[in-house]
Amino acid sequence: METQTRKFEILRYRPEEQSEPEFRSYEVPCMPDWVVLDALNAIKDDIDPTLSHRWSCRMGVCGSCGMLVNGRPVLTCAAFVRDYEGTIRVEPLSNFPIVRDLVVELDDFVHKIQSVKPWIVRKLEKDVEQGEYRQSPAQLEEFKQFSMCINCALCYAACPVLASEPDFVGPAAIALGHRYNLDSRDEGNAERYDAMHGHNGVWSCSYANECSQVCPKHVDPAMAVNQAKLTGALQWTGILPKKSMT
Amino acid sequence: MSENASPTPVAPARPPSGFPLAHARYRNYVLFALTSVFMFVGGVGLLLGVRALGQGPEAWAQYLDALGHPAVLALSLAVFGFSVYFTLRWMWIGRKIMVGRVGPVPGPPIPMAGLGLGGIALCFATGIGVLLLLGGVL
Ligand code: SF4
Ligand code: FES
Repeated sequence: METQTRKFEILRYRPEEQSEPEFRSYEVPCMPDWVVLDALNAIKDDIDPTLSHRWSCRMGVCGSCGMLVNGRPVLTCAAFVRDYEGTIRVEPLSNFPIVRDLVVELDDFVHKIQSVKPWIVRKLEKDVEQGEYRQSPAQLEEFKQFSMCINCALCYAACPVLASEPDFVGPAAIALGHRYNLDSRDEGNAERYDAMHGHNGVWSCSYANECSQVCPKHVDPAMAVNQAKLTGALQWTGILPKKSMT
Repeated sequence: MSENASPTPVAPARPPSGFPLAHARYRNYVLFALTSVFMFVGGVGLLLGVRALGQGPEAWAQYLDALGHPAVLALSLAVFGFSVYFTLRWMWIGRKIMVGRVGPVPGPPIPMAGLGLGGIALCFATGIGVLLLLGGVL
């Protein structure tokens, strides 16, 4: 297969050398079936080994290769070079501090995800001998789409609310909290209430819907956020109970 | 992101590319946020009307005269346009709220339409009550 040389502008930031990030250009011979991640790997392997970027699975599963390509948050392992015209501009995810080049600081994102307790919370665990927790296909369907999240953080990079309110718990965390609240095996709704409905919770969302537009796994975080608003309001008024393990 | 301090030196977070006006998707969002200003202006206009109503027929006639001024007409049109835009965009997102759910799949879901209409009716009733109170009618 013949290669085609494409121009990439990549935002570089090396804290030991630069006070702030700046773009650097690269001419990269690309194969027709390359994704942007292939081009980044080619730059690192053959042109500039100082380039830093994250990736792992190369198949849209691990969620580690998220970056802005021409301003849009995408998984670079799923973004074909041939789908872009002219110069391709690659930047680290917006709304995240930059550690180095295309690598962003994810600690805060992880703390936010943890804050909604994205696991099954139960008053009492059954003994193994008592068998598994049964769930019907209809019950699974209630939350299935929200469990497809791969924690790629693209929704955080797209969210204009996070740009102005960095403490907003954010779309993926709310989608995950909502996923467990909807799970028929879970009893931890009350434990998630403060993180999801407190000062930095669902009510910070102002309907931009960008999270759902960019999600590569077709999760609809905006749906989760707004369903959670309604549920939270009904719980606040006492119309719906908060389920608690305590 | 918030200050969950990490010892790693970092460059500050950058806002979404093209935010707030370079992309249509963000322009729509900014426009949506801007509706609050016009709805506030509309609300103030209504309150002025209620005050005029409480001050007697002369003040009320002056208020009606002012409403006919071309600049006020243009502003009212803008308030109306922004209100319609707000409603349409809200409904576009609001349709995602099908039912209120908690934990194990509940009994009968709460129909969103009824809840929504009930909420809107309550808002209207409260609003009118407040206006009447402010206007000294009650
Ligand atoms: S909700 Fe979608 S965009 Fe957000 S972290 Fe999960 S997979 Fe990524
Ligand atoms: S490398 Fe795993 S999602 Fe892209």
